[in-house]
Amino acid sequence: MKLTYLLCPLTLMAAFGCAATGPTPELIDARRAYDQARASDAATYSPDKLLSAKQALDKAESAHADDAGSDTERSLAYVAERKAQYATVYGTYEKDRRDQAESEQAYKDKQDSLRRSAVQQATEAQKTLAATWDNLSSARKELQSEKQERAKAEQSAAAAVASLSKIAQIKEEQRGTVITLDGQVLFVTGKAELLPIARDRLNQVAKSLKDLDDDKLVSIEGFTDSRGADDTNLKLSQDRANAVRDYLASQGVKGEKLRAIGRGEATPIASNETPEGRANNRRVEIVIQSSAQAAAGMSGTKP
Amino acid sequence: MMKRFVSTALMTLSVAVAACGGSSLPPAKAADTQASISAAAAIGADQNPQAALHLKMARDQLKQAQDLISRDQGDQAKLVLDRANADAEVALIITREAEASANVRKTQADTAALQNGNR
Repeated sequence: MKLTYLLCPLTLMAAFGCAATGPTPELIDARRAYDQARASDAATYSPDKLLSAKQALDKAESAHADDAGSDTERSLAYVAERKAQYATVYGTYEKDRRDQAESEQAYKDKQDSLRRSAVQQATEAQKTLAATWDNLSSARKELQSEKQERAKAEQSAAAAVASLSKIAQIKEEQRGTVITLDGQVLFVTGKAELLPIARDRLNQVAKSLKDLDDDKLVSIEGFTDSRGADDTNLKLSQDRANAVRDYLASQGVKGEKLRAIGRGEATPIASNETPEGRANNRRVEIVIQSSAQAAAGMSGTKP
Repeated sequence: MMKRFVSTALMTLSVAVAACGGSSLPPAKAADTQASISAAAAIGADQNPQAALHLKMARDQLKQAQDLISRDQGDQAKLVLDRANADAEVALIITREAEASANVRKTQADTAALQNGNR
């Protein structure tokens, strides 16, 4: 009897095997899988699936406690392992979906940003183009206006010079427009004193010269015939050129445009052997030049 | 007396297990499991190595369960079907996750390309 009582609990324990039999490999795997699930994204992104895995593991543990090593325990442990794996992967899946939503938003934001940038650049380019076009139009108008002014001035100067042809010889030479005035009607013989009649003619010359462009210069050159000493002729021609210059300046022609040069008996335009020739050589030339022509003249070369 | 005690305990345990095993009849449960397997296959689980492994296990276990059903071993069949269903679900989620992950990588690459294209 005593032995029966002693054996009974032992037999019971043997029959149920709850203390002697360890967990099956399936249960060990299930426990490990659940631990992994708990440490994974499942905890954050799929807690419901993680709970389901826990419940499945609990069922397997109960089966182990009730009937260790049984097919039921093995089967439930297998399912529990799968549910833990499912929870782990589902957690990653949910995270992917959220990452995808964020990535798509980032892509859209980038597209919008690029689009706005492109629109802004296009607008600025258009503004720059419009401003450039306006500047170009203004410059064209200005140029046109200047051309018209220049044409007017040239017309006016040409008219003035043309009117001189009545009192002087006018020629276009490489060195400029040359107005030749007869020395006999300008000066007292052998002197640099202007005759009264000279003033009338020089008044007309002054009127023409006053309308000249700013870039024009006036060179007043005095010449003599070949009678007398070279240095005397040179001085006389210089004095005469000075007299004409001073008179023109007194009539309002800008002094800085005028220069007086004595040429003496150089460059005769007629023979000094005849009285007529000598008379022609005694002259004053008023040369209207551009600054380039004037520079060439100063260097001594006659273009 | 000992024998009677153990028998009663075992019977109670069997009833408990049967109760926990679900109320679906094995053939209906088999149909559900087949549907889970088909769903996983439909999204390309067979092309994913990891998913394909679980899908194969699901198919094998489904076949085993159908065999048990034909031999009128419903309780055993239910256990096997639970395992098959669990494998089918794992195959499905592995495939879905792979696709989602690839989509994320593609979108991120597209964004980087937009950025680089602007330099």
